[in-house]
This record gives sequence, structure tokens and C-alpha cells, in this order.
Amino acid sequence: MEPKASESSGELPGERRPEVDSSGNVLPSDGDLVAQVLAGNRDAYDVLIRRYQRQAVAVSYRLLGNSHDAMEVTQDAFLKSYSSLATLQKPEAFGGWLMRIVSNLSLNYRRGRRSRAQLPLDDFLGTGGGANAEAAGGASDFSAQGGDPLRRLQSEEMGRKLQEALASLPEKQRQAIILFTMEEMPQKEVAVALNCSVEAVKWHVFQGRKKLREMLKDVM
Amino acid sequence: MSVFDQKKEDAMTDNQLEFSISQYLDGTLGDDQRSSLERRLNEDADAMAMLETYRRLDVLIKSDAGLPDIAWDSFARTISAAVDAADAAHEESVAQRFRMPGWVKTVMLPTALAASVLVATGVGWHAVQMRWESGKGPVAAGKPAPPASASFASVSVFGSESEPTHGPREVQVAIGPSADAKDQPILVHYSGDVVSRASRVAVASGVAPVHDTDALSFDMQ
Repeated sequence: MEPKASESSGELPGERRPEVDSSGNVLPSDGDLVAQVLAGNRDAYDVLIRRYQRQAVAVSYRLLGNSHDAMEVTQDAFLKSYSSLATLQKPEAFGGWLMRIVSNLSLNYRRGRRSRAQLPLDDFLGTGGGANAEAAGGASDFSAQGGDPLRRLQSEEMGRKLQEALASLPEKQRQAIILFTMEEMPQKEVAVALNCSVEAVKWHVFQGRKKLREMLKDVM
Repeated sequence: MSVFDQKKEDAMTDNQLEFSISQYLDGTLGDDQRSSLERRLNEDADAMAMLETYRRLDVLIKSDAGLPDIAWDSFARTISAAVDAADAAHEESVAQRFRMPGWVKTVMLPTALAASVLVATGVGWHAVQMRWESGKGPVAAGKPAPPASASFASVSVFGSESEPTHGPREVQVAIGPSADAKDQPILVHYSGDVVSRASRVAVASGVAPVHDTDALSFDMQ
């Protein structure tokens, strides 16, 4: 029996480690970057974009099930966070705050498109998404090419079931699973994103897992 | 572990056990709880099976299936450009809010300026007229307007020490600056004004002892 890797390495699951570059240099923290942006250093915000764009797209994508919508929401979230950066009370909590914006925008987006709430199933994989993107005439420049067709088929089936199961969870549980379990965000940041306590995050994750276990028992 | 703790652990519901296993997977259980759960897992095959199920579920959830491939560099540049565009649009809208159209500069500004001068002249003339009508005329050079404290005055009551049994009581009053006020350089210049041009005279009309001025009610004339 081994505990979670993060625990054995001494890292607390509730906190984020300082980021380091390939040379081992510690990169500026989110708090430092936010302070620089507020002081007029626009380039510092580009560092934050690069740091969080993947996570933002992933979270939005898992809430929306569509890569184009997820990228649109991600762009909107970065614009919104930039324009209201001065209102961020704890600059170190930028990540959780941004994910809250991403989650809220995604959920609003989803409510706004109720009529086409069915997930576009051909969009679960990279190249599939790319093909779809081109067909849709948007965001195709961002989709990378490549991928093993067999793996793609298996993953597509698995991804479909997982997305369906996730979509059926209550919002808080779905967000907790996505942010904590899938994106491995520290619990403190998830708590910021969900606007709740760390204990509540643990409970939402557990309740979500329990329901997913029931729904996915056939594929596990 | 005490017998009590053992009993408490045995009494753990399935839901509590699952919650502990969920936290165990995440590495968020405290040391005591973790040791306790590990003992339970070693002894309880069902609990161990549940842990394995949750582990497989976590692997499934964390698998990258479903994530689109995205050219992140291009996407970051696009977001950055959108931020720049929004920033520029915001600055332009702020600038526009304070920018005057050409017709305002050529027509409205001179008109507004002329109106301001006219209003200021009118107000100034009105003030001068009001001052002349109040009889004060222009303020004499070298003598500033009396301060409010120049109205300070003392009231001395003279009269009989005997108490009349009926009828109105008459007293003499003298008005002038008090001794304290006279000693103040700023007031001494106005002592003459206060004495010769008293604005109010208080006359007692009550039945209280004449020497008790605090108890008298005064008719202000």
C-alpha cells in the first residue's frame, strides 16, 4: 500500500509547489506576476497565460465537452481576469480564481446552449477535434496533428462514458472531480475555485467518486 | 490503540470507510487516521477491494482520453493578442469619453467662457449693490469688519434692593464691553460701537428678586 506520490515526496496536496524552469531556476510565483501586471508589466500576464491556458482549456472542455467552445471560454476567462485583476484580493490564489472564472463561464455557456446540450462525441480526441474544428471553420490552427487510430478508438469510447458520467454529476461534484482529481489542482485552489472550504472539497470529491464508481463499474 | 478506539473503528459505517479511502488515495488523511485505515485494509478484504476499485477509477479519470491536442504556443499568442486588443479598446473608449468633438471646441467653448464671465460680473455687481443698500458702504481701509465676538457685552443691573409687592419692576441697564473684553486687543477697537449702537436691550419683567438676574425672564427689545 503506497500513499499518493505527492505525499511521499513531502508535498502537501493542499498546496502548489513553486514552479521551476528546465535549468532548475525558481520561476516567479503567481503573486509576483500579478503584482507585475498591476504595476504595468503586460508581459507578466503572458507568463500567466502560458502557465494556465492548458488547465483552463481542460477544465472548460470537461465541463462543455467541446474543444472550440472550451477555447473560446478560456480566451474570455483570460480577458475577464485581466480586466478585473485589481479586484483579486489574494494574488497568490490567481490559479484558483481563474479556474472559478473558467468554471462559471463554462456553466453559463452550457446553460446558454441548452438546445444543443448533447456532447459532440467526435471531439474527444486531438485529431478528431482538429478535423471537427476545420469542419466548423474555427480554431483549426490550434489543433495538432497525429495519434494512433486504435488508441484513439479505445480512448474515444472510454472518454465518451467518462464524459457522460461526469455530465450527470451535480455541478459542485463535477467541478471538484475535474479540478482536483483530473487537473490535480491543490485542494486550497479548488476551494477558491468552488468558493467553499477545503473540507467541502474533500466531500464533493468523495461524493463524485462514489457516483462515478457506480456509473463506470462496467468499464473498470 | 485502545479498546475504545478499536470499537469505534469497527463501528465505522461503509460510507465513512469509503470517505476515508477516498482521502487516503488523495493523501489527505492525518497520520493517525491513515495508520488506522491501513490496519483495517490489512484485515478487511472488502475494504481492500474497495480501495482497488477507487484506484482504478482514479486512473480512468486521470487518463488523458478526451483532451484535445492543441498548439499551445499559437493559442497563447491568440489570447495575448485578444488581451492587447481589449486593452486598446478600453483605453480608446476612456479617451473618447473625455475627448471634445470639433464643434464643441469652436462654438460651445467660447460661448461657455462668455457666459461664465457674464455670470461672475453679475454676481459681483449684485454683491456691491447689497452692501451699499445695507448702509455699510465700502469697508474702510485699515479697519477690518468686526468679528462675531465683538458682540460680547456685559449687562449690569442697578436698582433698589427692596422688593416691591406689586406692579412692574423697573431696572436700569448699562450696556458695554465687559472688563475682560476690553482687555482683548482685538475687541477694544469696537468698544465704542457696542456702547453707542447696542442692537438689543434686555428689560426684566419678572417678579424674581432684582439682584437675581439669572432668575429674571427678559423681554428682548
